[in-house]
Amino acid sequence: MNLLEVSDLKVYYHTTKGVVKAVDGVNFIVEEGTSVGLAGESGCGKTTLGLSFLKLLPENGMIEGGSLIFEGDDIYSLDEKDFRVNVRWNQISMIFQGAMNALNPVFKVEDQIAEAIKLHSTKTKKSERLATARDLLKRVDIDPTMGRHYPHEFSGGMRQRAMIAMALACDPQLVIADEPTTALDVIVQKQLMDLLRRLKAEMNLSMVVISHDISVLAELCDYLNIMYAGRIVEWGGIEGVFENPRHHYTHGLISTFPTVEDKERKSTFEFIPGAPPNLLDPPLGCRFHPRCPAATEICRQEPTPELREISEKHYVACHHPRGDLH
Amino acid sequence: MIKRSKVEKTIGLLILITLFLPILPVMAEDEVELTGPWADELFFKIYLNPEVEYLALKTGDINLMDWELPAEKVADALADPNIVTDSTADLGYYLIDINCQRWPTSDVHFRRALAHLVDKARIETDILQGFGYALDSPVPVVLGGWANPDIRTYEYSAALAAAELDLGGFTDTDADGIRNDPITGDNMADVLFFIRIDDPERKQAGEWLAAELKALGVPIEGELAVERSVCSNAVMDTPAGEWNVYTGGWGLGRDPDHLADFYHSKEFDPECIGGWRGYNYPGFVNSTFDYWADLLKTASTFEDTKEAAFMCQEIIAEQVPGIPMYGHIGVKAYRVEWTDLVNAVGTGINSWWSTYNMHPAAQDYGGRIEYGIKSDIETLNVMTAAWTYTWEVLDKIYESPYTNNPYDLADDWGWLAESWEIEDWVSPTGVDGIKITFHFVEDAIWHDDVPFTAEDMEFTYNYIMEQGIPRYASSTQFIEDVVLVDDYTLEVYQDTTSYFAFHYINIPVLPKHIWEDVGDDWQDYDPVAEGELIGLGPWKFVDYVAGEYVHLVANEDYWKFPDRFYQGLSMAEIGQAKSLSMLRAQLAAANLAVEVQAESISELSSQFTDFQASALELIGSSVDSIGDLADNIEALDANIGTLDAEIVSLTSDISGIETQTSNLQAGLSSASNLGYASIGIAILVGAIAIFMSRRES
Amino acid sequence: MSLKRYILKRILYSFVLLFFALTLNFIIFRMAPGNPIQIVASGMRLEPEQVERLIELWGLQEPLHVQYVRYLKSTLTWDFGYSYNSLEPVGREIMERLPNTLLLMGVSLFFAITFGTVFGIYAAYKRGSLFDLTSVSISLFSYALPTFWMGLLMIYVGGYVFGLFPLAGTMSRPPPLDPIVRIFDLAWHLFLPGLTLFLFQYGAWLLMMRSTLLEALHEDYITTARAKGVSERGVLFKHAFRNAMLPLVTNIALQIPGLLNGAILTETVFSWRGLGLYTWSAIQFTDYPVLQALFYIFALVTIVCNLIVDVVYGYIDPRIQY
Repeated sequence: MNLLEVSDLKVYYHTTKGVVKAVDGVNFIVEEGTSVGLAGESGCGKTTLGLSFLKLLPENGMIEGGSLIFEGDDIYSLDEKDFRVNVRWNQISMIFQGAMNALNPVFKVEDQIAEAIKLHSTKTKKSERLATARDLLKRVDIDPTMGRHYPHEFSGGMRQRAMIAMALACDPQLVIADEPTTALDVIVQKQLMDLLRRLKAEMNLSMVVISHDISVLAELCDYLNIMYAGRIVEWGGIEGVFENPRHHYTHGLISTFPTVEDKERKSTFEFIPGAPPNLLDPPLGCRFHPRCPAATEICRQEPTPELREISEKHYVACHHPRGDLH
Repeated sequence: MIKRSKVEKTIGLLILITLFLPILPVMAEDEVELTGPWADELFFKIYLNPEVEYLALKTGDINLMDWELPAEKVADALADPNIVTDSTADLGYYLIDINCQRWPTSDVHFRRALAHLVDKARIETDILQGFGYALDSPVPVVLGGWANPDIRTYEYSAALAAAELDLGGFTDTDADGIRNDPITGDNMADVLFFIRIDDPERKQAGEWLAAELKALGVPIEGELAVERSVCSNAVMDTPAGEWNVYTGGWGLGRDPDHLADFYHSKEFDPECIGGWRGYNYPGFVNSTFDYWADLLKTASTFEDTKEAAFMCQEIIAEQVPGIPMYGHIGVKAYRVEWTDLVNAVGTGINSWWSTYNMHPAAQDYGGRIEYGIKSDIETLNVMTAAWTYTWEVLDKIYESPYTNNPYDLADDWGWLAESWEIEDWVSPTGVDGIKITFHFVEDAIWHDDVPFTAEDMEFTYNYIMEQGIPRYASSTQFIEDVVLVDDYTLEVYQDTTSYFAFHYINIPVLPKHIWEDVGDDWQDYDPVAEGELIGLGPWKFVDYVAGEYVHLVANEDYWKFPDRFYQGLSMAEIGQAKSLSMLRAQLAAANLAVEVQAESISELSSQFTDFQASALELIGSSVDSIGDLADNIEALDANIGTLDAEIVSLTSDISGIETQTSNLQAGLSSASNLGYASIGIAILVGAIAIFMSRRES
Repeated sequence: MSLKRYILKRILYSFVLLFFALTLNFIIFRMAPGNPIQIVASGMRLEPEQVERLIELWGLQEPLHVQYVRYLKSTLTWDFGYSYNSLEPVGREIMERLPNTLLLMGVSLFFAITFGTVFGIYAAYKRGSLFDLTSVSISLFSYALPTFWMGLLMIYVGGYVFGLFPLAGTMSRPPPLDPIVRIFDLAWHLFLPGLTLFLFQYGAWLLMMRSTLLEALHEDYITTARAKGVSERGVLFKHAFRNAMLPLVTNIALQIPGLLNGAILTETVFSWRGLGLYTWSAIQFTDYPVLQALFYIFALVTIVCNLIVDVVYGYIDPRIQY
């Protein structure tokens, strides 16, 4: 059964320059107990998509259409308070990118974790909540006594671990990790990925991992979604997508990023030519066509290609998928 | 230098010129009532903002104010039916100071040329616009007979000025439009002008002079327009004296001895040893002048002194170390509900005499004078008080040996000392001096009921000399000895013959029984805090709240307190009676005589007749017969009864005042507690906010 | 380093600063133009005897270093010598005026902080709303108005035209006898000057509170808090406000010395007999001993306020490195 099912989601930013269609008709599925990766370049809308699961969009960001079914309920139809109390953190929690500023600098770490518990189980005692918070810290390999310290006294990696501990505080069914390892050094990245893998196995977590670093997703995920200019252009099982990328963008992305092993060897890698499109005024037709090596006339015309199943659980939105015979 | 309120040119003021013309020169117009005070209370209300003080006069919060109305307020005051204005010339004057020590103004012809270039008529019409008058002598008309009317004057004329320049050799020999220096033969060096810009009147007058001089081919430097601090630094404080012309101004005392101070060579301190160039900062050095200036300060008779003053003025007019330009006229205001105010020379409508005489127009006596003053009272310690506004209060409480005709500064009137003699005297060291014998009144008593005697005055002089009190150092500088003759007679020996020496020693008398305990502590002594603000004057001190008000009440034991028993009579009849208190004393004496001595009706009637004769002199035809007198006596008895009642009520008043004082103290301490408390609350709220937010986390 | 050592260090540092301020204060007035005798002489005519006596009284005949030591001693014992103008002991004059200034500043500061903060938070909470727009405009307007002019306007309208409030002073003249009525009388007199000084500060507080809150609301940890399910109010009052308080506290310390500025003008307009008015009149009369004492007190207030902020920061901002 699908834990999370997003259909035709549209999230637009209303700016003084016009409407930015950051997420423009996205379908997205998370099966229970799996972890799903979401990859793409900066500005492709992947963080917006992640935030929209929790309705955490900035003031000018609006959900213009689509639905979000979580455990069979349409949670977008809940009122603000219900959504805040029942969905946020309780059902879906989030590990934010680079925990530097994601933790409030003026509160102790354990208090911040305990606050999350308090918000969703008001009847607990403060001492219980603190005990839970320390347990959680221990689970992410932080000395529980460190909880009495402030975020600035933690290293980057520790902050990220504390963030993970906080995300687990209310036993959520789904954890969204937005760039969980970005801005950390390689060794710490590896440790964090090990931790996430371990926690996933121990707690049978469902996860959405958002990253521009496709190699991280390769390590952590069962499924992979590739997003480009506000749309999902390819999704499928991790091995299928990696070994046989069907979209030209996916292919470019995979060859752009080195694997963790590559990074250690510091080998060179190639780039996708050109720049991502301006979402204020995306190109007609396939949004990738200006950068696509295989683009033809049809690609330049409307309508934009829809996702189609090209093989078992492997979808691609392309007129000329790689490996297809013309 | 004195500060002047700004006069602005408003069209409406042109009307004023005609309004003020008749007041020049200030003349004695009115009678003054010698008894007083006629009002019951005198409240000084402190307004530290003149604008607001004027609003308070308009609303009736005050009925008399101390400061001159600025020009823009005069029109408003004239239009307000509740406000009466009156004007008076200030005790001071404005002039062009000329540096006699620096070329080319060290040349007398050059100075005379400058004098010809000052257009006083234009200054009067265009700048002063009714708020001042032109003058030629450094002795303004307010000083009365001291001004010499026959001194050399300088007609405003560019031609005459040019002629003077030519006479001094400042001619344009090379015909390049710039006059040449008679010594070097080159074009003249710049003449340095210092023109005060903080005073628009002086600025304008100074700029006109500079322009006139320039037009005659004399180069001017800078036409420097500067403020007082800069001016005093350059003009008065530096030995170099790098200036030629300065727009100066002086406040004066009642005597013309400033002539000697301003221009005697010993008042010039070229090295600035005393911190500045001295009063004679123009550096006028002239031995003839010095002779007359010395005489001005040493001559013992009025005639000799006046001759010296006239000579000094003549020399100044001839030599031109300064060009007197104009004196100021101030307009002051009071509420229409009050009457019998006295517009005294040099002070104006808010004079001592006003508070002494004024009463509500609707009644003959009583009422509360609410007098707005524009500055705080710095202290009520009579030994340290130096501030004009402080003296506004203190001179109502304290008395001095004599006073002067409010309409004539040169006319001394006996007061606490009813009379005096001035005789020649030679000191043991052979210095010529004078002996002054004061005869004091015998019925003056201090506010704490201790009788006044000449010993108090003797103590005052000795105390000031022993303690070296700066404020009075000049008053006692010539006193050689003070000798107590009896309880009401005192001799003061001065080792100067100066006519003015008699004026120097007219200082407030201290109550010996209080000040002998103050001793060396005079500078820190606070008479209000000690509850010892005791004087002799017409007003008694009740209460002072710093920055707010001073409360005085009429001193009913004042020896010149009017007899309000006769208040059924009209003011004109009282005016005839002149000294009703004297009458009352005589009636009381007669009454006593009746009780003690009268053995037979005939004796009594003869005494009545005697009394009647004297009473007749005083009250005219009102007391005709013994019966009348008997009636009077009866009434007097009744009066004594009311007086007793008054004493009772006064006692209760005093206790009321005591409670008031303690209430006030309670109020004050609660006020300061409130201050501390509000800071405390602010800190507490802050602390709570911090605490709460910490706790929440 | 422990918090205690940090605080001790700040106190020590404050003392050093105070010493420098004291010394500077001494030097400035020795270098200032004009000498005291001449200041007095320009107001009246002095005889040489008087000049000598004044020089002796004020100790001006002594060498500078002796004067300096005497100055240090007298300042630290709160004895500021005698006024050139009134010849009164300056310390006593200051203590007489201090309660009035504390009352005026305390009350107006209290209300300005309270209202400024509350409306600032509400404006930030309702950002973009009509309320926000109105309060920001009013704040900018009141912030920009010259205090002197505003005070005069208030007196003219409130005191003269409508006659609702007294024109000047801290009490009715004569004051009411009943202490309770006396308090009301004081409040009645405090109203207009208090309101003027309140408006002088209120706008700044509101704008600052609003902008620091809005700034804080854009931080990442606010998104985290929202994600955690914290309500909008909790986000604002707990997560954002706690962070916005840091600049607020600094501002209190910076405002208090600046407030003296406003107090000078307000007290002058309203004849409110406090230190501000004393400063103004001392400037008018070049009364150096008074100015010297007042500058010292202002320096002291500034240094103490900074010390308090340092200490409070030590408590409320965990990031402070001791």
